Amino acid sequence: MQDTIFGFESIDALRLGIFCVYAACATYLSWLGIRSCGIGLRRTVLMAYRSANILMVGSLIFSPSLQHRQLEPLKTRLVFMLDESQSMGIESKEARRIDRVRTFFDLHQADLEMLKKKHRIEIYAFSDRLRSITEDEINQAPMGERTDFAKSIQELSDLAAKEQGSMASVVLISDGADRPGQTVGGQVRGLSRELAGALDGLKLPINPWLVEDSRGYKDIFIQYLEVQEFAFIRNAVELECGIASRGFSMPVEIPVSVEQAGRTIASENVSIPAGKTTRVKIRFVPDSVGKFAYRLRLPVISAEADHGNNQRGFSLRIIRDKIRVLHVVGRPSWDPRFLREILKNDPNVDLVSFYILRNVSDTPGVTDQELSLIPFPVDKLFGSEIETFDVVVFQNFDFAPYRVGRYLQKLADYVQNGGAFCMLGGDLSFASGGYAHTGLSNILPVQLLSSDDYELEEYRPVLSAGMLHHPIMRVDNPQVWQTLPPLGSYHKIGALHPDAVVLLEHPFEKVQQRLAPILAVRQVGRGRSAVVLTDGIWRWAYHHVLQGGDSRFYYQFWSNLLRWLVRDPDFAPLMLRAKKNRYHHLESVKLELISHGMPAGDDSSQKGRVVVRDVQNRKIIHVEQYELGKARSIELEMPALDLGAYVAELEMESGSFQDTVKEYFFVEPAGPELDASAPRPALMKKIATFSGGRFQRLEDAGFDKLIIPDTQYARVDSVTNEPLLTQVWFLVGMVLMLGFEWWLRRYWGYV
Amino acid sequence: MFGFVVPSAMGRERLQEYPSDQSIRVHTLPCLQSEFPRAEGLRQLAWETMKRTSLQVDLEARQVEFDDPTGLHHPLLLWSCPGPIGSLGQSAVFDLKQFLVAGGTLWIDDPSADPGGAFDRSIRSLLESLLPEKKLESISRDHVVFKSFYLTRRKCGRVLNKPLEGIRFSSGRLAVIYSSNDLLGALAKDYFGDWKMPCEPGGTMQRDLAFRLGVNLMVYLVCMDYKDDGVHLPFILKRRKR
Repeated sequence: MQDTIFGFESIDALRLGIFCVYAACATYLSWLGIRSCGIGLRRTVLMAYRSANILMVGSLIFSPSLQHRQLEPLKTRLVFMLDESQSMGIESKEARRIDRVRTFFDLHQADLEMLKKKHRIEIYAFSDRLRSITEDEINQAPMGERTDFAKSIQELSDLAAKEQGSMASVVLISDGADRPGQTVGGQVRGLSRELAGALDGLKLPINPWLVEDSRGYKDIFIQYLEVQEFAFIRNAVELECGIASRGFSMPVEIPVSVEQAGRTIASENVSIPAGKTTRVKIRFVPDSVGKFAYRLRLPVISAEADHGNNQRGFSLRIIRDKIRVLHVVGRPSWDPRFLREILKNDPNVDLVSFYILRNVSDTPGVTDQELSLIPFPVDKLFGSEIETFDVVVFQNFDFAPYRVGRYLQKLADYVQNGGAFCMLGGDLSFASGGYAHTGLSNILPVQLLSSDDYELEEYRPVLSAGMLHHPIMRVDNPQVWQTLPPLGSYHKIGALHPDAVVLLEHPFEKVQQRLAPILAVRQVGRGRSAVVLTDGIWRWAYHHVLQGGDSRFYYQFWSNLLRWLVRDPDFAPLMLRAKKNRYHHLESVKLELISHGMPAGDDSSQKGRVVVRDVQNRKIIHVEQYELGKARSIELEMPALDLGAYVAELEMESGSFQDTVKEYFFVEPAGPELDASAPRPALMKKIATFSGGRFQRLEDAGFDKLIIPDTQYARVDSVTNEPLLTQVWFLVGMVLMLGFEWWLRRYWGYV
Repeated sequence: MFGFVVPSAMGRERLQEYPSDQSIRVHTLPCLQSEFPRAEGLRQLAWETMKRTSLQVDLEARQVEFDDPTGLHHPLLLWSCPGPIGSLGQSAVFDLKQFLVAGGTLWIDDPSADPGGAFDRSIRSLLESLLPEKKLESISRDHVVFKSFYLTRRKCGRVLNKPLEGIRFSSGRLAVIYSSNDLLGALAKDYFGDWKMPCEPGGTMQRDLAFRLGVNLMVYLVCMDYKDDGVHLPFILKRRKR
């Protein structure tokens, strides 16, 4: 095929410049000559004619020529857009929807080959993004989380614009389960504004082919699940879920159950009306403390299109309804009094107090019957009942006069096994209370002196470096740590335990070349301990209010310390948090490791590994090394996992800081699309109508029924130039044009 | 036992004066035209409290002025005047209110033991302007202040005019305790060790009960409602019945 077009051989900046200067000068000079010529009409005609001649002569600088082109006709491009979202993986009795597409292409291979002779076939898979695939990749596993027609068509439109035409028509193969397309707000001819805009931009007919299930779509699924993040032990947990029925003509009666470790712990029979969603409430009572994985499960009905959306995992942190605190005070004074006010008024604390109101040397002067005093039940508290307490607090309490010494080792064991202990200062505490070299001293964050250690001195404690973000020190107004009122006492110590974390320090008193601790905490085996090496922190509450402020930070501090002591997961020095509670099975799992402060000088504990285990069988699924360094948090990304419930556990490289940090997460098949995966022929029909294509159902579809505009495209193979100046007719024409102007001037009498 | 000044070096600074945190120190508020009249009674109470209980109490009270920045730094103020108290400025009223809100306790003892007398009238008037939304009321016989150490009675002192009164905050804490019966007068001894004033009408027994209430007050200040805890109740009820 050949054609001829007019063109210029050489156009460049220099020639253009010369041409412009020439045209301007010639036009100006012509105007000077013509402006005196007669009446306006003749002058205008002459000027226009002169201008045309100036341009004609001037254009010779660009070498005008005739271009003879050799053309190669091109095939138009026919684009197949194949839905690869989650809903295309729904398995009906015979095959997945995507498999039905594969079967169709296999059966119509001959027709496709015929089509290929006329059109270039391109196949794109799409969900919420578009990607090119080959014919062999048609029935691969669905990749995308959800269908987004508007976004995918917009991407195709951008692609078509880049390649300058040749795209003739589009075949959209999908079940029509497009989530964004369901949004009602702002519609254009029944389509969402975004989708209508994308179709307008593409300017090509779209031929939708609807992929349906062979026996009609039927599904029962969990549409939503609402459950709180934590619950109290032995208190009923109520979860709410929406159970939806689609494609059934009759109400469906099924049991909805909650499972923990494969065991059904609660079940509710519900009747779901056809095509409706029923709200279901299920209650169960957790009986142990910790974080647990649960599964909400529906039975699979034989006719169901999708089984994966019949279950959904969730995790729940079960906490104590109250922290049981044993508060033992050796001598009542202001510090215990202010602490008691907090503990007593905290609804989350179940307080058992024992104050030593009378020593053996005190003489009340009356019989015991006239006193309100009761015996100190040492054997009961520290013998049989110690395990019932979550935290034991010794405040200015010397053990020796009360026969508590024989229980100190037991108390230390209680802490090692998961209990918590806090000692506060005073002249009867720490070494002054005789605790040096006792079993209890081994679990403290500090090593005690052998002699009296209680010192009276006024000083302002300072926050240890980097501890502003420690969970114990997190208060509404962190500035308060810079303006603490002075304390009036402190306990000298022998040394700091290597595992101790110092939160507050003496401003100048030193021990082992570092500032002496005033507040320190320590992880001990499975339990925790804390020491407040002063009896003056009651002033934090009293002083601030006296100055017109409030004592909220004092309350927050004690609340934080108690929750840290009972190993509230939010107060762990290191926390593992899954970015999402539920992951899609093709999605990479992301966990965040957050540090809230580590033992003094213990850099080694910043390294370790995160082990991901299957909750059911504890099998290790994945191991991820981490190194926290100086960062307060890092993100760990691991590859996509198979369906199931998992627990990520932290394993420290350093044995000095043994803490159990866990996080549960679930990998599930259900993307958001599977909540409503029924085929939507109406949407597909509207796309066809809007774009000028033809809607077909896959089982009836035929390539011959596609609407493909008959547009010709060709590629230029070669071009031959023929300069006009070599053409006699052109030269004669030019002379005639110039001569005619001369004649006209003469004719009108303007020489 | 006081806060003290440390040498200026290595970041050491002159700090506000705070007393030791282990002992209960009584700060007395000023009277209009006289000195605090019950210093001996207070000293005797402090000594008896330490002898009978595990508490530490400073034997000597310190008189503070309202313009003294350290005057309210200890959570116990005692006001006892033979005549009316002086009128307080706005800042003094504000400071006193902040003291009570912060957790301090104002103990008032009428040495004249004269309900309706000059001291009584001036104190009641002050309390009305200080805490207009609260009322000074008789403390019920079940209140923990009557069982904080001894199991004792509501009316105790040099005379037996009225039961103990108080202003209770929403937390249940008694922020103001008012004894109209010259409690400290019943405890005062002279330099020869003799009682300064007779207790009427009960004599020695009445004086002993006054000591018990005084000790209970001291214990209450630092133990608050400890004796209301469930663990104590069966014992206390049993002993009360006897």
